[in-house]
Amino acid sequence: MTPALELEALAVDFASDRGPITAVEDVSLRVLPGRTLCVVGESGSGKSVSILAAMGLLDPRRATVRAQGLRLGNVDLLTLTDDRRRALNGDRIAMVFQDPMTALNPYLRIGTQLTEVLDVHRKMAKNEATSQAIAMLRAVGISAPESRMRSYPHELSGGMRQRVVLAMALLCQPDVLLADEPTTALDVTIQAQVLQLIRDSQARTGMAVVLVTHDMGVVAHMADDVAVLYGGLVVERAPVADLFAAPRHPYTRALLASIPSAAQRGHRLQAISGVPPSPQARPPGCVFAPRCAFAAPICQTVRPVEETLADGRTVRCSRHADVLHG
Amino acid sequence: MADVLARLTDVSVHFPVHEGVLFPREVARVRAVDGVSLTIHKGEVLGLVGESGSGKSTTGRVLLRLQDVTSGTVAFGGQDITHARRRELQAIRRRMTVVFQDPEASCNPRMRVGDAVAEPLRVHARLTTGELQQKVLALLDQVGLDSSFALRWPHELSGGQRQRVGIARALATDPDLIVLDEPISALDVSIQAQVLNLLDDLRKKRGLSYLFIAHDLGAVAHLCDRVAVMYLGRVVEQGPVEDVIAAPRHPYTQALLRSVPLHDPLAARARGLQVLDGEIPSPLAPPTGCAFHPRCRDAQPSCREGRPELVALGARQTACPVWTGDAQLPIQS
Repeated sequence: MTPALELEALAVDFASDRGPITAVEDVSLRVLPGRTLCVVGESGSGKSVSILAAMGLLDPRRATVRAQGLRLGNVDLLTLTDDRRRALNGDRIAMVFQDPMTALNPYLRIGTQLTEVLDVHRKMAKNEATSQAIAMLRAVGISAPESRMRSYPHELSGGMRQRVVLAMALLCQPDVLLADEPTTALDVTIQAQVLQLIRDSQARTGMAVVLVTHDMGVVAHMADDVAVLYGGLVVERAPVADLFAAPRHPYTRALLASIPSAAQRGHRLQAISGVPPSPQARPPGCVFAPRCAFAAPICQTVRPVEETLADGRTVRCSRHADVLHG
Repeated sequence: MADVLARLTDVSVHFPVHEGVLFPREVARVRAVDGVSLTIHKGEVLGLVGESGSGKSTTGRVLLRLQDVTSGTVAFGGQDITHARRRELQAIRRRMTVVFQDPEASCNPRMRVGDAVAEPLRVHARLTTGELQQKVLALLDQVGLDSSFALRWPHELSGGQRQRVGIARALATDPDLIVLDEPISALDVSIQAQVLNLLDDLRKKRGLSYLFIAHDLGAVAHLCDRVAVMYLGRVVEQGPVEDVIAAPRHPYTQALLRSVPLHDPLAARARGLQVLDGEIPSPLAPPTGCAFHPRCRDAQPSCREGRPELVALGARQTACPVWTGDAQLPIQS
């Protein structure tokens, strides 16, 4: 099957006064139609920048995007003109951000912002666009959608705003939905509502979902496949059950072991020492080596490549065989 | 149990809403905190959980005397401090300190780390410069920062390191109690465990008590001895953390816990995410009766009338008259 979205060896540099900063060094991701890929990583891992690059939202004056491939279905995004590219955004590929206020115009009514999408992408008549927008608001669980169309963003709660943004992203039935920490700012009960909503919409339309998150619990509930990012690199890719049952990269392993829970009561948490590397100062060998319990001399000097294992998973670690039995 | 260190008794905080400029009149009242009683014993960690708008941070501010009460009393170290004045408060603030969620907002960007940690000591203790330096370095060491940090600026630090500085400041005056208001929420996942371990170590070493305000129930389960669950300004359930987490009694606690994602894909698929309908109601117009009844699956007609009070059963208190049995939840593996 053709992946709904594929990033191959993506690299992103940002210009700075002290020379280019490599935010993303080597990131390959793919997601099939109807499937959910969770992209996990901490701040500075390059997860958000990768997603913005896939959306074509990075400022070309500041960011240099290189890739072997960047495809949305059969469309090659690398060779597309800006106009064509822009026409795809919000239509075939849509995005939901962490803070819904960054996606909503505070001066415009919800209804205006929703119908605008259909006007731009579908040239739809006002009446029809309005009724579709109302239907979509209802689908994302907003009560009394007719009157909500006249509301301004500030009149809604955080959870409601994220529903509106989701409705806006789903209006044109995109093939791919990119969601960057869509529930991080929400309370757990509202998070559950929004995640369920993404699932329901996916079941209805068969869209592919790329969900960026740092919460392994959200991953466990939502993902079919997982890509773990660290220091601008994908360090491990695997189906979700395999990743949790047998993490192959020391970072994934340490991350899963460090989660606090009732079962860990009375025990010391297995914290990962040190801090994630900043993009300006990544270590020369393996990016995780300074914090890694498995680090050997080779890890300090040689940057491991992404290896594909027999079962199709990938891992970027010189010592992954030892990690498995460690 | 051990001695009581701090106690809130029937505390309410109401914020009046005014209308009119020249002749303002009160048109409504936000009941941010409404009849909350909490006890923190010596050496105990009390968790305070709830969604945004539940009143948990306001409750923490009441204890710190950063927020005046509308009614009720605040006691600390056996002394009623509800109306304590400046001089008394200064003594109390040496013994009761605070760590906030956003370490960036609580660090003065123009103050070096060493000076920031020294500030509470300058206010509360008379030390010579040499003693002060020594004490600051010892405090930094206790939170896992080496002496080179004393000369650094806050912007040179990562979020986790800044939070360590915040904890060092809170420790400076040798307090008995620290109010921790979402101390790990702003940190990266791999750093949260470090800070939780640090808080746990410090508490054991120094016999500290914490009021741990959080929405991360995993962290609460890990660090706390007891937990109180708040909803719309009221405590709906409290008790030993292992009881409340493993077998919540109040329907809201049950829903809250079932909304927390599990960290096991198979269990996650089997259980799904409990979707609790609707959102926390506006505190301007709270529902009659039990505030949770409009969202509650077990609600009876009687839940719309009369506000349920906390009823003790064993070590636990629950404010739900229709409670019939403990829910058994799978514990996070």
